[in-house]
Amino acid sequence: MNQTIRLEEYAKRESRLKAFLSKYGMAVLFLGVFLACFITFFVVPLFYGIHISLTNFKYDHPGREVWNNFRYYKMLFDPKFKPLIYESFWRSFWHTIIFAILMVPMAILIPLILAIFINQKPPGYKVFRCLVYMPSIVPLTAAGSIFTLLFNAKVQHGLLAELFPNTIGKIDFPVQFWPEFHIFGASVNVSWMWVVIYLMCFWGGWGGNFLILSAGLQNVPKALYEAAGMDGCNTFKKAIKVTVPNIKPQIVLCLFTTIIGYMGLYGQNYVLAHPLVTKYAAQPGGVATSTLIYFIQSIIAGDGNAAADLKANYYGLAAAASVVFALIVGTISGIQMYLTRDRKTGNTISRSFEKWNAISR
Amino acid sequence: MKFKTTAFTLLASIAALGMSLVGCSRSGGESEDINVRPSFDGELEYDDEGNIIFDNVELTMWSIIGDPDLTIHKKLIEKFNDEYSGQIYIKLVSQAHADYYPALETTWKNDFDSFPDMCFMHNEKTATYANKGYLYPLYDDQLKELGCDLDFTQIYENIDRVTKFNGVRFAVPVDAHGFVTNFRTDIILKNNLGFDGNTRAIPKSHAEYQKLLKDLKDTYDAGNLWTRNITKGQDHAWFKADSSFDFAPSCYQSTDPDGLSALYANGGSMTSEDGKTITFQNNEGFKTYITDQVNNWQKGYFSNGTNTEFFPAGKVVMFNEGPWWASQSYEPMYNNSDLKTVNPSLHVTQEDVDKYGTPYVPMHPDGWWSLDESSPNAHKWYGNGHIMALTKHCTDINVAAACIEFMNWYLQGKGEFKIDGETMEAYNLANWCSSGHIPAWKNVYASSEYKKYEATNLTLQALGNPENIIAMESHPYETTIFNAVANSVLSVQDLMRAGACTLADADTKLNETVVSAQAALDMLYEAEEM
Repeated sequence: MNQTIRLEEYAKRESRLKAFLSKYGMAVLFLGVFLACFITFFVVPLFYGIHISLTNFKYDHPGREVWNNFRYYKMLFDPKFKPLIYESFWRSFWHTIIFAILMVPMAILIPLILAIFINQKPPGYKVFRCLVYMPSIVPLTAAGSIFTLLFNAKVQHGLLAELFPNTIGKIDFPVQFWPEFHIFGASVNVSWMWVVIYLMCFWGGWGGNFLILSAGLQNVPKALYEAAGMDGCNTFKKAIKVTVPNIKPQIVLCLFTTIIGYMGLYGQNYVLAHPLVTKYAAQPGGVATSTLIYFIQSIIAGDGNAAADLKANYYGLAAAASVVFALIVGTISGIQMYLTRDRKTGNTISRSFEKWNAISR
Repeated sequence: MKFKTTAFTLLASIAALGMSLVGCSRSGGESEDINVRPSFDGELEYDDEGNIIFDNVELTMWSIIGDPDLTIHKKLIEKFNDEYSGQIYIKLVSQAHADYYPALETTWKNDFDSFPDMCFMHNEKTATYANKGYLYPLYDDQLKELGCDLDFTQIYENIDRVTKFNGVRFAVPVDAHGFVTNFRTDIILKNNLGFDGNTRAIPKSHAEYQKLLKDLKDTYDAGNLWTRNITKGQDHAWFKADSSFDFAPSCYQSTDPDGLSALYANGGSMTSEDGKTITFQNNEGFKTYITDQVNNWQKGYFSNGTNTEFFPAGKVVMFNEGPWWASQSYEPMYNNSDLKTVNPSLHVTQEDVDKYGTPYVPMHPDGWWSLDESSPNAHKWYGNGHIMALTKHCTDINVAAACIEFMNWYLQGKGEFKIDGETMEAYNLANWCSSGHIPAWKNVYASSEYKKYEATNLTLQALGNPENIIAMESHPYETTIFNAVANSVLSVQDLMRAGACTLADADTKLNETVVSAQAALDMLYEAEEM
């Protein structure tokens, strides 16, 4: 009797497995590769990073760590515990935020204007489209060399300095500062080099957004423009009332990727900036053009100043800063997604009503 | 509900997997007590004469030597492998300077099997890696057992000091070197600004150094400075530099050698004796060096120009650089054949050939920063060098003995070499030093063969006597300490380049740099306690 029941259970299990495989097998096969990579290279490191940030992990001797009582988080959030680390971290944070605030609107608006312009298909628009996108395929290091040559000081024969000796020629970008200022107690260093970083980011970054927005513009129904024209809209009104609402998903995508991209600013600063000595010189992220990622990277890569020695025993500080960074980016992205969500107006309300109507019937 | 349970189980499993990685990570040797006497596996075998028998022992040595020195280094190691064929084979892994130390740390942590048995690296790193537990302490009696026949009294003490950590030896010094200052002696002598009746162009004291800077600038400002271009193929005619010529006596000075030489020549040290407090900023010599920088900059003695462009063009008279460039690049470029023969088309006269045929001379800081000429360190200067060290990857006594045998051979062994066209027996180390280093061993420096190398090598002449080099004091956090000194100089120079630097600014920058470095140092010692 018992054997019969077991056999039935086995048969049931077999048939359930077969049914599952026949239904989801293909999906599992395709998802499996992605999931394996996602878990191995994202989820596991994420948990491992959180673990490191909460223990006194030592790079040379892993496996012996003990709970550190939030020591690294205290360094980042308690101004009295390790004042210089606190200042250096929040200074890097404000550098990042201010840069993103100044960069993101330009990185969306200019490509949008260009995309609308190209969408009119003026003569030679294909060549122009290529030229706009071209900077995006230039490797970062090559772009860094170009901008370094352009903005070198006059004595180093910087091309712009030679061309405009009385204006740009008077600025030594790598070493000159504007006055330091303070935000919420954190000091912010404004080096002239930020201007060069800004221009390089802008030049190298507009192509990607331009391409996405251009693709979106192809899908705006022509009829809407005709209707708007009949209603008396001029070109500007058409752009505002027809074009922008119809490419909102593309704009949201650009906004999302651009904000995340510039929150993670590092490469441009690394290839361009002279390691200017600040009063945080021996701290992680001690250079004048430090960003949040720069702060983290200077511990992990051991580059910069004292960071080479800090790497062995303060890997956890980099991990804690990374966790905080992830939370900050997550919060900003969340706010941005909330603000750009599909509001229930117009078509959305009609669709919801139809759906509700269908159910209630 | 079911989905929640599955998701929770999945996340918990991943978390557990993440935590388990901690246990799986494998690193190199244990390092609770770095001074513990090494204990090796296996036994040594001896021949009838008591020499150790090596039977196809293979060892890996990581070397930081790069081109162009690598050619001589490689040849020497190939020579050793030939001489010890069937006994010892050294597998040389050459790592670029920027890669060596990060690779050493990563390999120790993640791929210990590939870690070297022996390190050939910079001497100032000894304490750092001793403290991390990578290196074996080298006790005299144990070295003897392993076949070491080196007489450590032959090592210059001022160089040897950096190879000991807390009084225990962790490495054996090979050589020494430091940055040098390159001079345009032709401009100095032509303008009658030399010393000892214009027979000597290179200054020998702080006063002479400052006087040279001032005289050059004053002569230029008065419109009386004679200068010329020495670039091969260019017009070498002397001309008076006018105000549009953009002349300044010197390029900016660097921390190595000038900043640190100022410290050591005046009896200073970078940290307190226990290594926990940064002290270089209190040294009068170092403070004067910083003050001089500001004063000299305010007086227009420094040029913002590019060294290798302004120097041959006659727009600066001195600049700092690594010594290896002197004989290998600068000498053929700046003491070129154009200047050694009369050539009317290039405006090279007989007087130019006789008096200024060798315009380029490199020199180490020689009393330039000493405030007290009578002090024992007055003519000493800062330099570092290379060492050989045995790592904890080496667990077999035969491999350890093979490492020691290589040290014996490289540092005190002799072989036949061609010197100045003549084949003669010389120290292997003397041959290595011909690539641009001075020996850390007294008997090698004193040997006639080394002197022959020195007579034809501008770099060796510039580096001079190893007795005058002071190596950095041993410190486990050398990078933090060295960068503190370097940053204090750089921060002042950054202000100068930005066009605004007063003595008060320099003082503020110096203090800020020290506060920042001291905070980092405190954190590093704190972490040791955790």
